[in-house]
Amino acid sequence: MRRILLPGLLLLLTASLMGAGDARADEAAFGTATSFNLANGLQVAVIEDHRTPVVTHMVWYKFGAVDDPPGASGLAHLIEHLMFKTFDAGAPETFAQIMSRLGAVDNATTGPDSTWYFQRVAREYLPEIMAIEARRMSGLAVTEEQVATERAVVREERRLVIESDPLRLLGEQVMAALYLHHPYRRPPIGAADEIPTLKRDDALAAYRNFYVPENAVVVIAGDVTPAQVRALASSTYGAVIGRSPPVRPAIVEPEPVAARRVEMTDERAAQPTLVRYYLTPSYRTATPGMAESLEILAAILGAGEASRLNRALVTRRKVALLAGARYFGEGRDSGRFAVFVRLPEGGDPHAAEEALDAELADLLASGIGEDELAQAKSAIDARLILDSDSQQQLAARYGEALAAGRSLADVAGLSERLARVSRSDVEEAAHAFLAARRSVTGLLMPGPAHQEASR
Amino acid sequence: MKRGWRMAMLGSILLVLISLPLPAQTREVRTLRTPGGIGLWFVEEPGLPLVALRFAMRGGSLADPSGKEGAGDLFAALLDQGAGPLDAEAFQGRLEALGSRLSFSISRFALSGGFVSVSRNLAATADLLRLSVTEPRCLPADFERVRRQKIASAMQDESHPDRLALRLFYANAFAGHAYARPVRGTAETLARLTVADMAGQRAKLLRGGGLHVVVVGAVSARDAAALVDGIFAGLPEGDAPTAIASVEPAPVSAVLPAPEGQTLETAVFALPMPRTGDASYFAALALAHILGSGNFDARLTQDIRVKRALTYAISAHLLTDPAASFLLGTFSTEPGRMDEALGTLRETLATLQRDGPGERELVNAKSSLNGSHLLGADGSAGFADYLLGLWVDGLGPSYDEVRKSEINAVSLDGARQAARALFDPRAMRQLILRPAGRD
Repeated sequence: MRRILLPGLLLLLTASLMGAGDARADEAAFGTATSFNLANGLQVAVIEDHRTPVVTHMVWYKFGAVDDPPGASGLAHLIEHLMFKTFDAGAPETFAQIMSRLGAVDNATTGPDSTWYFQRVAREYLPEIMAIEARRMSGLAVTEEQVATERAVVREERRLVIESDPLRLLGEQVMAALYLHHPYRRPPIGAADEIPTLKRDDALAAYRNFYVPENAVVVIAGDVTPAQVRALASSTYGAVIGRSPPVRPAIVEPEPVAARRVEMTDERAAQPTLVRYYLTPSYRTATPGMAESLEILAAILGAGEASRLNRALVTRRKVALLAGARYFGEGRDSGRFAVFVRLPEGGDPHAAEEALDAELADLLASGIGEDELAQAKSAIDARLILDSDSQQQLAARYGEALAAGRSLADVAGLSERLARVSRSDVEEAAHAFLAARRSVTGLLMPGPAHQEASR
Repeated sequence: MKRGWRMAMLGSILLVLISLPLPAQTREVRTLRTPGGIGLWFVEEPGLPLVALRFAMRGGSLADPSGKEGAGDLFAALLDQGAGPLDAEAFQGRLEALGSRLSFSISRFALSGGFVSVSRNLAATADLLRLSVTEPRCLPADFERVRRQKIASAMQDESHPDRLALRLFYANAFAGHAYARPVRGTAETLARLTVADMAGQRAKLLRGGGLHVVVVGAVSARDAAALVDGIFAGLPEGDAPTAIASVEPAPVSAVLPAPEGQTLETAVFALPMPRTGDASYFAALALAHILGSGNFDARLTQDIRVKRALTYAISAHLLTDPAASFLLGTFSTEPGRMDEALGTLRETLATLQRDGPGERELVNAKSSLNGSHLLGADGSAGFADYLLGLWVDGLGPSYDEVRKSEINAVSLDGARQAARALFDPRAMRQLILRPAGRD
């Protein structure tokens, strides 16, 4: 997936010559991104939105939890935390102080495939944000003491976010059972026993290898023009020295052969909950049209209260409080199709699972209706427009896809590709991927206290 | 590291050369009255083919009958569960086919709601909203189903330490006042509700007298006004009286059991603060920011998270509404470390009270409060929400300018004075949730 780059000087010249009159970008439909590459390999995408004097700035690194070495899960996550520590010992203000002074909303997330940093600021602060984020691309320096503190914070975060929430704990178990081979099976936040053993040297080495312009994508959405961004990017990110990142192997999860089951009892759970994941391809790995078909299948089965699963399990059979389905197709190497059912207190999980299986079997046997298909497409299309209202969602849509190795055209063309999906495409996708052997079923049962209370 | 510095220098030199033109005007908000007499704040935004509409009606959960807390919240949740000729399933199916987002919610002071719709489905979406607010159905089966969901989520809140701690803090610190009553109710109060209670809520809450509407999007002012009249013209007149006595949190200090299975200790803490009209209000806003914004350089984050790793996150915010104004904060810590964390918190307060903010710290807090003000207002939906919030709080559509000049006027002396008066650690109210088996 490596891009072919123009020789540096030539690109720089082209960039500065293109100045104000970037007509192609000006004419682009609202919410459409344009992009350019700097000589050092950094890709920069711009989405104009002049409605509020605010900009959203994101940097996506093609480096995430899958890159954690064996036995060192949480390393990418720790690096994300370290990025917020004083990154230049002699600087008059730390990163955090600058963000605070600008009133920026800022945060970062470590995912399986990528790590991303974002800031939303009043538009006049964009130049400062870009200068600062460019410094973070090469200037990280942290002491052993800072690493020790942040290791403890990461451990605490795991306790708070995962270990205090039985559903998140179950989710980790289900992922570990779904992926027997791919590192997606490991918790991106870090495993409890491994976080305390993470080493400063390993973190800095991974940072030096992966946090390079060629391995990053900058996305800027908001009250700014592509020409302004081009000038700012050359003077800020353009000064970061380019280096080739390590090659990331694309790991293929072997075809699954057996249905798996994970059951957990937790006294903190108030009601039983059932989740099931089916292993699928992602937008990046699927054959043409397959991911789009899965997206539509999820809408028909479980998006909203009038979807098939809700009508059957909640309204008709009354075995569930809520039911849903969702296709997770953003991954670089693999995707999954998820269904979930939340039961009332004291509800019978086996009855709910039977009802779920009956609905899925019915869809496989009888297929879907033309009206269902049209409605799902129109709803997804409206959702894409409504999501484009938010700078952050729009920027994240492009950033995540570009970081996973997809193209701008691929993201912009989703609507058109969805429109071309036929009934038989959706039915074919359902037959191919809603197979028991591809699945892990996870069941969370409340502890004795809640079970007794319901008698 | 040297390279980092050189780049920083380079960066700041270039910043001077290539700064962006001064901030554009915020969008022009037109203050209108529809032909039908409804107050409307309107912004036309061509570009994205969508329209956001938000409304509020005065009278919120304060109108819940005593012992039936959560009545208004349940009523709001039922408004998209069937209306006019459509049952719940048909209503939701229609909404999904349109791809529109329709929602209702309640706070202590207002019932609010609205939609975002793609332009091609605007009329059809508006008609669903009209049905919701003028012909809600509230059938017994839907009532039971939604009530069960509400009870389930109320029970979940009880097992969630932060949410339980906040509910118990309100119950204790505002005992005897409407503030003590949970907006979303509890499993017990929700269990007492009947379909007849919903009819009572409808008569009290769905009224045109206290109505205000905001429309932002790809639509003309004339069409927007006609749309609004079409939706709300059928509402009965009058509004729900919501007189409420002013109150401040009582000086509580309580330790209560944490939800079963929790291993962390959770704390809620509070301090009384001045109200919006008070001379020291904006100084208090700046000081609260310096103390508890949750940013990395906030004093609480520095003292309790960064220096001592006693917690993952700690913040405290100034909450102000027509009845009360106070600073409210929360954090969790490992068992056995709560005393150290609370001791540190008190020291942090004492230092702020004694010395006030630093000069640079105050300048930064002001720049931060100004820079952050509109960040949540991006997009048409975000801006409509922002405008509606101003109306509910009794502020004007150009409040951002007033706010900016008031914040800029806070002086170092004024802030020091306010710190001495307001941030006394002995005035701190607190409530701790502690896992069983520890004391």
